[in-house]
Amino acid sequence: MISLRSLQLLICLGALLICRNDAGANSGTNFFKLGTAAYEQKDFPHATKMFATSAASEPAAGTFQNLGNAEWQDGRTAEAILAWERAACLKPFDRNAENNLKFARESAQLEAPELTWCEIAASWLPANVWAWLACGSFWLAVATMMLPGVLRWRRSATQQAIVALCLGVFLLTLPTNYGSWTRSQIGFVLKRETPLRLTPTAEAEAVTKLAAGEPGRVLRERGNYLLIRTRRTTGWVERDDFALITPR
Amino acid sequence: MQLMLTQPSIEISTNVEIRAVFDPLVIRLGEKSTYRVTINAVSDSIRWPEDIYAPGELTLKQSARGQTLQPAGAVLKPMTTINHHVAATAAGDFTIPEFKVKVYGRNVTVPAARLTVSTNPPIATTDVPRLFLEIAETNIYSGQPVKVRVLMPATQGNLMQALQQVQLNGDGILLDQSAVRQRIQQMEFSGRVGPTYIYESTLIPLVAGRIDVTAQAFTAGNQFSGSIVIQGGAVIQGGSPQYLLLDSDSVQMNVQPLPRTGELPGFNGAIGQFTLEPPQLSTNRVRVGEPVKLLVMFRTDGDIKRLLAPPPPAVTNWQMFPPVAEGGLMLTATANAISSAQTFSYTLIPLTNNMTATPAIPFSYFDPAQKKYVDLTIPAVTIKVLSGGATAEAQAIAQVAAAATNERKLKLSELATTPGRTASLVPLQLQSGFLWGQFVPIFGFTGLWLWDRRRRFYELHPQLLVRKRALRALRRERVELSKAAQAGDSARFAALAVSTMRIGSAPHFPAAPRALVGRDVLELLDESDRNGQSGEVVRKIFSTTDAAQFSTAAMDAADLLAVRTELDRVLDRLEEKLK
Repeated sequence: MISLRSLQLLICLGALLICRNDAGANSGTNFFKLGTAAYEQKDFPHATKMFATSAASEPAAGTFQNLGNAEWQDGRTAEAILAWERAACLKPFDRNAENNLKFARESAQLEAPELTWCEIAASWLPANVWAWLACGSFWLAVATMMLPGVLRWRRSATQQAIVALCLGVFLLTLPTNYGSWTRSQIGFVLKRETPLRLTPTAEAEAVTKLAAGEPGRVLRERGNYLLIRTRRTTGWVERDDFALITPR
Repeated sequence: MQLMLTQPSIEISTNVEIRAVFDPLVIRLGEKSTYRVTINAVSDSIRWPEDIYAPGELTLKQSARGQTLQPAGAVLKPMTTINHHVAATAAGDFTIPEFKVKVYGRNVTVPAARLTVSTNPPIATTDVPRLFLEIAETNIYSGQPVKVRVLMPATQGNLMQALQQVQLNGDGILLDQSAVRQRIQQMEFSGRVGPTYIYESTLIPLVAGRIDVTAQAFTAGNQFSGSIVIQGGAVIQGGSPQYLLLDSDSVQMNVQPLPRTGELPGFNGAIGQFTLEPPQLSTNRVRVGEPVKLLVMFRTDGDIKRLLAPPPPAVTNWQMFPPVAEGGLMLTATANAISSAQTFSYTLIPLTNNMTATPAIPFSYFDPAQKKYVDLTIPAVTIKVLSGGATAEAQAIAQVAAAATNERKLKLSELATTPGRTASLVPLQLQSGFLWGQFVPIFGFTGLWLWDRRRRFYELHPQLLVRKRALRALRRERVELSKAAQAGDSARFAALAVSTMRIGSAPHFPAAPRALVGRDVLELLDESDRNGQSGEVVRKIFSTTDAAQFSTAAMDAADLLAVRTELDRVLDRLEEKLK
């Protein structure tokens, strides 16, 4: 039996947790409002700072969308594209981020990342939804197969249909989960004229120079360098010059 | 089908022959040579290695690859050439040893080739035809057309050859094949005046960034393709042509994206310098519903044929059709260049009669010289619209078309009013907590399965469960018994002793423990135990407790504590029987 003292301790801990969350939420929302106000006053550097702080404490699609807008107005194309990609990643149904990405790429003459069919399918829903769908459908199928025997229920066609449906959903979500995983390796060049090097050293020959906002896919890491594949070639870039949609 | 059958077939059945040579064979230190490999096979069938083994003093870089189809009787003989630029860091004789390549799926040997690098050789370099690439501007904007020239100076004796399959290699570039001009003219090249073959065209970079461009072409003897202007004296080589793949050094272009700021309405990608002649109407009086043509002439100093006319604006009182080019290009030669002009016509249908002018058509272009966008909007032209008969349907169509055009235009979205739901950018698939969390249902379902298995087993063997439970109860009672003995509570000791023996014996009889008597317990003991001290103890305990239960006298169990050791032996026996 839980003693009164333990109960009091639990209540205090719960209250502390709620207060902490509330405090975090409030600070995030405050920064969001401050960012919006700065943006409306055309103080884009300040707006960028506010939205970035809000996104760091509370990553949300709306915050990233606004951060992208502020970065764009501040003339930072790569950072804007990265923020909109993150917004689209969190909320694929939101047309604003997608529209802004098209607009930015058309204006800056940049290419969109080359996605595999798995990644295209994965972008139809948030990545977390695919993960829950996969594990939910799998465990529901297992439970539906197992529980009637354990609980002495009569086996019925409905149960078999549920099992078939769940396994079907599970199999369909496997490629999309794989796509969500591979999409996490996509990133964007942050600096203008970033050299793409032959080897992961500062003295290495530059194969080409990449424009800010150009997409790439991380293949390997070595020290301070990332081996990336762009649409045309493969080479090493410095870690600081490249940012992934999914930060590590 | 008949046309296909009449075409000569391509010879792919003969033995594969490979030639590998350096061109030139002797170079000065610091000069470049070309390592040229020629294979009589189609290019797609050759799996050329990315790296070729070469002495450490030589640096090899693949520079060109091309294929020709040379007529040989009734068939066409494919000939593929692969060029590498070679530079040496030291003087000496260097050999690229023979190596294998796959051609038509078979391994074929590329013979060894030798290059001599000398510090002061007597070389006549003009004997070797060379290709040079000239790009008019190398710092340009994406989409900006730029003049490009591929030059091949004559070799010794002013010997001139034609070039075929001229192509430019580089990422994200477009060569305008329709703007090709070729000529041979006298010009100074590398300090020597002589005839030079010039291939001129227009290059358009499609992407921003640094682009390395190289040119490649096959020499073709006297076989000129297309018209050519020859100025000055040049000796054209006779006889059958020798197809030699040439390539130039790379030229680097720095391509910038068009500036985002300052873009004006009506910009549709036009880059250059344009002027607009005053627009003209086919008539200045028109009835509602009747078409009228607006003629607009654009002029530029360069080539205008890539200019896209500005699309008609979305207006509700006019139905406007997309522009069409009227007539051909108008070329005007000036002292140093050729200017070109193109006329476009817009068909407009007035839908109401309350307008006094045609709508202005926004247009702007980017001027690379000024590095800014320039407005060249087609101005409104005065017109008199008389009442007439435009149907309501025509007006509705025009308004829907106008609305659709507005929707297609991309622009930056407004700010989001709320942050939205908070979520981690790292998807669950990558979070170790989520993956470890899958062990919870694994353990849960495994536990459930094990429990069900055990339950089913005991359902099949209920006696095992009864024994197991009895054993557990027996051990529990023995603990209590021990406590009663230690406390010296002989009455409780006697009661617990009986109860323990009954619990230990019950699974061997189809009876409840309370129904058992001392004789039942004795039956479970061995003959020797039953007649020995153990049997005595059992009888004594049962008789004492029975007497207490069925007589009015108080229980005299004081001496029972003394038989505890023997009782433990009996209980051990019973416990063993339950296992």
